[in-house]
Amino acid sequence: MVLGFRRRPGASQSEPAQPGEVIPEYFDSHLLAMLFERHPESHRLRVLDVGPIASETVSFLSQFRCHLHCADLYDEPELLAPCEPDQQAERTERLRAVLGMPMEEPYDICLFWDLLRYIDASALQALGQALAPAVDRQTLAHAFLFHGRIQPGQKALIARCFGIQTANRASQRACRHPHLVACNLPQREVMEQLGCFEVDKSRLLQGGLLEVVLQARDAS
Amino acid sequence: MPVTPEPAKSASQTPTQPAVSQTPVPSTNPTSARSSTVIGPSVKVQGDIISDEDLVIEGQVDGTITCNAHTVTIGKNGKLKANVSAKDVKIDGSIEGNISGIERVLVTASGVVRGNIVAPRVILEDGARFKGSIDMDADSQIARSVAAAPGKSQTDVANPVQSSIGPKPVKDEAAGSDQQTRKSAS
Repeated sequence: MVLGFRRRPGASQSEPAQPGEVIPEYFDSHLLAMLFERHPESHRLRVLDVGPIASETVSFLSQFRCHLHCADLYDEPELLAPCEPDQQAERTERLRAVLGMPMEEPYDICLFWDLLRYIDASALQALGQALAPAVDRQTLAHAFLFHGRIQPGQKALIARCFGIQTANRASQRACRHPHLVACNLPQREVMEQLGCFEVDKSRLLQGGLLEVVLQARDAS
Repeated sequence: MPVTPEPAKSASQTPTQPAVSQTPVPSTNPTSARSSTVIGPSVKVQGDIISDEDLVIEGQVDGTITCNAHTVTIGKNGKLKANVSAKDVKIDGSIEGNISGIERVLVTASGVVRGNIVAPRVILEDGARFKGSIDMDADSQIARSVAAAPGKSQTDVANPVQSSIGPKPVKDEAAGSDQQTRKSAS
């Protein structure tokens, strides 16, 4: 994972950043391309982005026939916080509304980015139950999990806004959701609680981040 | 005056500032200077606006805005709870409602949108805040379905009519390498 500082596309090296401008960093991804490989050009992609939407994601997806739903769950802290079992059903219903359902067709692609790192088992269960009707065996998802421990002083990449610059290149920038606290549940537990997805491919990145592509499970 | 509040349930304005004003917009073609109507920052409109010229909104509008041959600009001070249908839509302020752009929708860095966008071309600048859905292969059928849905919620228009438009060129090398479809797989 390349975390070096890079200029935004098209900006010259001598061009100063604008006041308040959050300049994204770009890094290579070998898994993002998988999300788009299986669909013919004529297929109308249905994409769910659970994070704050990045301008480059919209720009990239505009190459496709596409329905993009931007849920920005990071901006819904009450839906992500731990909750009691008797509140789960209500939370699941609220999540369904935020996630853009009901739908005529399931999502082809779910972009979880690093959301799964910030929610506990109860929130993972609710998210999985809310998403289950909106995915099928053809649905793929992308996520960043965490592998190992965050060392003192290590850049923990907490609360980043991710985007797609190209099929092989992602972006990240600081985002405005400081309330998020990393849970960093192990991959196995994340998958068990989420329920409707299983890991298809994964790749360990620098700093303990694990980039994964998830395949939806059969509802049966 | 092409701006027609219909039916304007109520409209408030300060005595010192007109509700709407016509402002000539500099044009590259000196023989065809375009005019635009400005709804000032102290103006609140409740009702529907139909415009045959560019519209700049710096005030508040609750209702619908139809400006299918021209540009609607929601200024930095503009606050809308409205469905907007226009040739081009530029959002510097905030809007809660559905937006249909016949050609383009631009959400600038200061823009805040909560609702659905249907347009052939959608641009979000860095810093723009957006929550809702974007349909980026819109043809007129989809645009009409959103434009004709005043007052519908996000969920109501989350599943617009399927586009009959042909496949768009996919510029990225990764896409389209596998012809497997959901139908054939099932």
